[in-house]
Amino acid sequence: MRMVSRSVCPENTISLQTTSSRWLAAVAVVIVIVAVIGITVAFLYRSGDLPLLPEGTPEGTVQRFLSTIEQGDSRLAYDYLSPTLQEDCSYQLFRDSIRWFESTGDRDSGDLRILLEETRPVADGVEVRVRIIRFYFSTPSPLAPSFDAGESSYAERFTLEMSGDEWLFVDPPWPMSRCPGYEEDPPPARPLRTAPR
Amino acid sequence: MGLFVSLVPLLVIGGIIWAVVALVRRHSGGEGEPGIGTLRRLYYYGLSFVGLMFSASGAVMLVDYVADSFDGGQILSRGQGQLAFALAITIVGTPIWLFHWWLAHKAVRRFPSETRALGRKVYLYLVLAVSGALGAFGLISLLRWLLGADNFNGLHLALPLVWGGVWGFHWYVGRQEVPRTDVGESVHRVYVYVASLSGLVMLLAGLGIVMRQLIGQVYDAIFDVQVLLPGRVTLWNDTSQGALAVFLVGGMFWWWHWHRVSRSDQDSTLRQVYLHLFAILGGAATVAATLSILLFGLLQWAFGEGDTAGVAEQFRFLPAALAALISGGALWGYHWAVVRQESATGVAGSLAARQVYRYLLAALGLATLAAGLVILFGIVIGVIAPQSGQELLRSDWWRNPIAYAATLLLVGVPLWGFYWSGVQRDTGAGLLERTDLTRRIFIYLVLGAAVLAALGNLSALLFMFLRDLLEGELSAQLVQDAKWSIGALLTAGAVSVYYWLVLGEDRRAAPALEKPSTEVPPVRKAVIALATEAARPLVRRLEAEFGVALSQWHWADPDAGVPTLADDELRATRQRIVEAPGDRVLLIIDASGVRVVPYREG
Repeated sequence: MRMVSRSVCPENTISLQTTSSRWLAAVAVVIVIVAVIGITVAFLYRSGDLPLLPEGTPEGTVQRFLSTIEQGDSRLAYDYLSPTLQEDCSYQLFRDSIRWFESTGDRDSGDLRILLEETRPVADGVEVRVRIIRFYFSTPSPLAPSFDAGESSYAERFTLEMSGDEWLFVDPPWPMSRCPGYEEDPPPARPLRTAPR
Repeated sequence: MGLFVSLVPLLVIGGIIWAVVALVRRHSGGEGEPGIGTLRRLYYYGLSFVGLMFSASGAVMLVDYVADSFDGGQILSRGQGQLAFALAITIVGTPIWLFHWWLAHKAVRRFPSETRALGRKVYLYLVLAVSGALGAFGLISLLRWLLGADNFNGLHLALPLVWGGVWGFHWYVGRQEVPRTDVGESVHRVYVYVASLSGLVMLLAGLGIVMRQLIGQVYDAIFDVQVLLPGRVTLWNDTSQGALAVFLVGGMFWWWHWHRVSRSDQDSTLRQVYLHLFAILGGAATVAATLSILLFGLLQWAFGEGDTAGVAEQFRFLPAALAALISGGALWGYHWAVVRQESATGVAGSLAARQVYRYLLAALGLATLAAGLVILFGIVIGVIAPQSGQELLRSDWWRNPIAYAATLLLVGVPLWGFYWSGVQRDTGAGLLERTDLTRRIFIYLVLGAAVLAALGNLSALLFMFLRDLLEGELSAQLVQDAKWSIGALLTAGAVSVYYWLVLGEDRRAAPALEKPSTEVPPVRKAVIALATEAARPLVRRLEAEFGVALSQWHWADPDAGVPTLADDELRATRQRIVEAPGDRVLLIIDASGVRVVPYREG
């Protein structure tokens, strides 16, 4: 049926007769190759459990604390708080203060990842800096097509001190939002601990 | 200075009045017909409108007051403020409306052409719109009460009674005033199609909620969901009762305006806009969005990070999504069938509207596809490029994003592919012009958006590179940080190159297409071909020759035959169509040749 029309104008159809069609085909091939490579690499090298950092290091403590929070074991996560911080913040307060993290769906969504940036000594212990990265997207609707997607990131820091043979948090660690009894600047009467490194 | 500032609102109001007067003068045709004059007309109908609004609002409050007394419920304490206020505005408003309406009526009796004045039409249809909206709202509240979703309130009776009465009276007056002018007909159409659309939206919203409730019950039964508060999840609850009321009133509103009033209005451009740009496009967008939701849920469950609470929670969106899919599909399917049925009668405006619709859907598909590509490129760069910091949580962060990208691509590619390839095919076949304004607008908009996106992301990329370079922190981490910008740049680059090439091809092909049109004037008529099925190839040749799509009526007699036409005979047929009187032509195609029969409807 279209034979006559093709004779009218040869530069017309979606076949590979035109430069634009050839470009489109080349782009499609490149996209397929890129997608196949990317997905293969992702499944082969970016899947499964992450290797845990050495236990007894500040970074290892931060990683285990975050994993515990992600698994929903708030009781075990609470144990990573120093005794002083636990005095100011009961388990119930700790539980309540991380509830936002579960309610926003971050724990379950899989759209969150955390990267270690640096570890540096501070007055009484160490500060571990991490970058929290979230992938976000909007739910599609007829009036708001699903084009809004991307990534946002921000830095967080964890302050730890050595207590016995383990590193514990002395400031409320993310995703703890608040602790009513806790004061940012600790009173001078607070016992000092050395942090052998 | 202060005096000047205080005069600004007055100047604005004066400017608006002047613009309205100029518009009315230009369109009412009153210059050639005797009448009461634009300013006096504005005064009559403006005061009529204000008086009517006061009067009707007072009447609503009065009926509400009286109806509350008949309720039988014990009224513990009620002041007389409502009654006093209702009486006051009714007593003031009713005479104002009656007097000015009587003046307008007297003017109509003196000058019959007054019935065609734009000012009168605007008044009539503005009152119809306001009273129709408030009457429908009142009717919904009445039905909600009757169905048990609400307690009795006098307003349940007052609103539909009073505003329904106002609507009925003005509808009757408007219907009596024939023949109408083009301008009056336009005002009428605006009202009819806005009312049809409002009714349709209410109908579909009500239907969607009722369906969601129904499917939700089935879903809960299948997944054995533990119900803690049965009152809120039973089928016959406040939500379904309210939705049923909205469905019934919306359905009635839509049926009246769409099926009864606009049934014979097939030549209207506004009807085509309503059909293609609101009903069909709205239905298509609803279906596409709902399919995206369904697909993403499925892909997320299959290889993403689904809801850890289980399958029932993961697919909790199913009842709402299926309800939206059914509503959107019904909206799309029904109106598409209407368009096909009407295009068979050769409505001239439907072709242009259908082109706009195709380009809009192609744009929607392209935007979805491009968003999917940006995310895909970003993920691929994210998993391949080295990361400077140790990952503490989530090595498989890419699972949900890839499910999202796959969803967008699976929806966007077929949508854009189907409509764009259709447009390209018809353009190549000569059924659409390469220089068509809609096509050029579409291509330049896509090209402009793609080039701007490419430039914006190139700037972002350059900024990140220079920042890291100047701060001495340039590393492979830059690729990770800039992965979304790189993805957007690659996508925008690919799209802009493609449409630049298409534009070039259009430019090169245009002279070849325009050449015959300089010799023979273009066919700008609705053409119907009455021919047998065997003549379809000939009809396509005629379409290619004329540069317009033909509607084909199938000749049931297979013996009618098909003529053999040479190219010069095709051109001669074209010339006869161009020279035929009117804007509609019927081609009778049989073995003896092609007969050109100009006709008109009515």
